[in-house]
Amino acid sequence: MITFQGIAVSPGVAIGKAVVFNVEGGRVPPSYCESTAVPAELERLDDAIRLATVGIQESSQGVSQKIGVEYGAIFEGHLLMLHDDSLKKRLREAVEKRRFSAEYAVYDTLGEYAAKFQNLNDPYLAERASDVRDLQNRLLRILTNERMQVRFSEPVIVFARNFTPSETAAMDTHFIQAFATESGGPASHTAIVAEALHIPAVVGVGQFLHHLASGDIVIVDGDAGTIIIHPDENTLERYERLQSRQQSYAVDLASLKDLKAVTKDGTEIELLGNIEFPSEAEDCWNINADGIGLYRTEFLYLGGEHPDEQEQYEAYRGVLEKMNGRPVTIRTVDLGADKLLEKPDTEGDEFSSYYIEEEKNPCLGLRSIRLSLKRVELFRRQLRAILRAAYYGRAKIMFPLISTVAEWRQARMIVEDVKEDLAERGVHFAPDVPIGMMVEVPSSVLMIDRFVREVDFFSIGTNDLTQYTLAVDRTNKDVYYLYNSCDPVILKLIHMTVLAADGAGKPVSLCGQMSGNPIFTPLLLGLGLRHLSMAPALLPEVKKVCREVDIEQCRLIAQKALEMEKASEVRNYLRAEYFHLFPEMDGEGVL
Amino acid sequence: MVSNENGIHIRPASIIARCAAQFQSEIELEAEGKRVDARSIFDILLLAATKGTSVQIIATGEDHYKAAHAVAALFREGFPLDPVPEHLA
Repeated sequence: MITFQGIAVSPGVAIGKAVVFNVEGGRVPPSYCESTAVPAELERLDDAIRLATVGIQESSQGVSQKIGVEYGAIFEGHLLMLHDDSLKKRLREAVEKRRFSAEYAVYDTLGEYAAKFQNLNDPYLAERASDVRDLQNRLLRILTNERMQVRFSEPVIVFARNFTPSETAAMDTHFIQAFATESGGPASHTAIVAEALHIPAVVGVGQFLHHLASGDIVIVDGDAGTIIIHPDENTLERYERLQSRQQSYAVDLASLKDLKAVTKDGTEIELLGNIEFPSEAEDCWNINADGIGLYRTEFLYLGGEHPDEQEQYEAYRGVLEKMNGRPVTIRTVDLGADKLLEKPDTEGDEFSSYYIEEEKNPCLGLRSIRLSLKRVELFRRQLRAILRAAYYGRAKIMFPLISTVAEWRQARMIVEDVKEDLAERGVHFAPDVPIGMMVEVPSSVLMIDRFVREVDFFSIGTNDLTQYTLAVDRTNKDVYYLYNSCDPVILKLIHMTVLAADGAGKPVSLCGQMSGNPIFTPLLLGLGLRHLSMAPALLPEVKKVCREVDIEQCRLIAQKALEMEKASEVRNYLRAEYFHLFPEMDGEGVL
Repeated sequence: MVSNENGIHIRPASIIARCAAQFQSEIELEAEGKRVDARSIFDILLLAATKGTSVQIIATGEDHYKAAHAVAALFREGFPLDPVPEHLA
């Protein structure tokens, strides 16, 4: 039995047979053809390009259906590259003049471009390098007659160094129980796909694939972020119990769908979904969420090109209409820092690619609302799209990373300005959209008494708030231990925010990862929160907790936690309280 | 001068390459010491031309005048299929 630790990016436990992908990275040895074979090789090349075109179109459609239209747009770039005339010319020349086989021509020519892109030291182009490699692999697969479509005949757990969008798009996801990869982080393509499919995933494990062969029995624990290869009998048994408990619990949770999140004393709690892809609005609707508390709009920018107003408008309007009058809080673009400036690792995470310029401290740099205020034309475009879409539902606009009152006012003023424009142009739009802000920088909490006078609503983002308050990079494995949302200082900041907002009669929600973890639910209610926004998959469990507690009891829990000194103390206390409430959840491995 | 926000990324590069392919002349782009074939998306991308970069268009051949002007027009208009610059809106 060998255990590896990675980053947990999608929850749940899977036990099954491993399938290991692309360990070699597909080197093609030099191969040449006879002069008489040149026409045949050229024909193979043309066929491959034609088949690749069809394949890319299918991938694009498949991905659009599975995950969302925005994601399919990646493949548009692949098509443009594939049909570059000079690329075709070079490939033909490699065969005609240098007598390369079609495979080797593809390998050599595209490999050269990929290397050039990689060497340019520009994150956008480095990303394109992985697009070029993706294209290269696709052509090679066709030429070597390997079937692109990966079909599984039984449930499997899929392992790889990393996945490219084409690879996951070509997979028959029906049988996939879990993903695990050597590279990648919380924003990697694998993480996003796993979350969308609601299957466990662990990424960033480091090198481990050499310990693994297809067919091995493995466990992927998407809660703890561990991978266990060849589990011993005890471990296997323990995980089987855990898995069956999770399954029966899931059935139990499904029965809560039509019930409200009302505490025992009758306090109504609003439970909202966090979404990124418009298609996730459907998940929110299906679990009967009270609305969407955080609609992240970064995904629209995924392709590396800025989405135009119409494209954005349609995405927002789709979500608003899907939610049928329930509130949808649209957060203006939160580009930068870890999400979009991340550099690709060796194979290249296919995600990301908005390049501004190298920053020493991207988390403290030009990102989020700062970027919007600097690139006003993009900001205005997004605001126009939101305000127009808001005509068709109940939208709210939220600015991320507000750190000063001046910044808030500036952003707010631009909204007014955009409204005037729209009114002048006689376009349909909603003039009375509430405007709020994320509370995720400690300065905004300390100045919250000023903000409450002019902000319509608040949403506390505990992930960034923790990072900025404790000055810790949550992706740095050496200091990660400091990053803890239940640190008493974070509880204090949440409490301050809630008290100030309540005092001014302004609604405040919490949309960090904390709100989706049922252990924290009694604490958050006790701190005075009445609106929680989380990944839709986590909502039923939180609802269950809400229905089993009463506010007075929660208040006592919060009071006690606020007086503690250490995050670990708070966590242990909350766990104990939780298992006290739900003794059936206690046991090895749960939460 | 590259005027669109994103610099010359895939879409603009493919627009340039398609335009350049319509002429008999050899068309090259030069920026910051690099000179590339304007018919290749890959080569154009390798210029890594961001907004504000000054790009020279070199056309040689019978229709060099028309070719250079057609490509220059693309730059001036910020690549028509790209979102229109909106600071004027």
